[in-house]
Amino acid sequence: MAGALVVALALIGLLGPGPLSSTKVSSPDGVISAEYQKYTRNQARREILLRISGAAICDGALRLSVSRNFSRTVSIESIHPEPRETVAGRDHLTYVFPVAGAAGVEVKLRFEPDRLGPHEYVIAAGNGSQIRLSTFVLP
Amino acid sequence: MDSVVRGLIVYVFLLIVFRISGRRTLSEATTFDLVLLLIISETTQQAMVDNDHSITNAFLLIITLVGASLVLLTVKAKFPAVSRWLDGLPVVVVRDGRLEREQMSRLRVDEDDVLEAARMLHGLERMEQIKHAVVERDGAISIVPRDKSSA
Repeated sequence: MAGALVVALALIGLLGPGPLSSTKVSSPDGVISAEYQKYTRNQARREILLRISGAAICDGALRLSVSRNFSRTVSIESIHPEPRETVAGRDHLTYVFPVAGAAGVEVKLRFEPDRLGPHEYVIAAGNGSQIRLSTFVLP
Repeated sequence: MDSVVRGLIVYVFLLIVFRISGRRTLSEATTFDLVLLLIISETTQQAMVDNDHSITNAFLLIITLVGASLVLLTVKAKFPAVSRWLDGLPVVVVRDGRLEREQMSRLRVDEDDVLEAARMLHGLERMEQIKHAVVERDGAISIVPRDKSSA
């Protein structure tokens, strides 16, 4: 019975990827949005898919700021497309992406969580629009 | 969700593959068979675990596989036809000293296999000493020796 319950929880997405875990958040002005798995597991490869509209692009570049605790709590495997430069701030990392044209951009962050428990990250686009991502990392 | 689904898919796939390959596949213990099983084991592990090395994933896979096995046992107990399809029935390959060649060919059993089982189980040396030989559901061969008086 307990086993069936565990399997059911896993299937609905409370123990990892699944329907209840799939989350989409957007900034109030719709400039930046993210799709990610709310419930994830330690050292399991995951992705955050960011969509940023052209309103955040300035001078042919997109600046994306990610709160510092993100790089402290995960091992970042790759960022696609690759940023031209990474600028370290006091409480955030800013990735600068060259952009051709004024159309929207998709950025994929691929990482492995390193720390258990609840985490909240803030990702902001160059124009100030920001989103909050809440995750829970299971052992 | 992905752990449970992957575990179930691999479990069902292996069930079908080993059912098709025949019962002797799992009972034989030659070096090549051992190597094959080791490779299958490694491949299966990679497919199920993927890039998720968390404890939760391991627990989910174990619970899924054990649960699937229990469900299968229950289904086999409730539906004998399923049990017969999955496990087969014991098949007589030597009857009253006569080789049943068609059955032997179907089960990929030859005379050497029968004699090997006879030697190991009863210390018998010749086919004439064997009354019946049966390939059991698990692929093992059981031997009924001929009475010494009628050998």
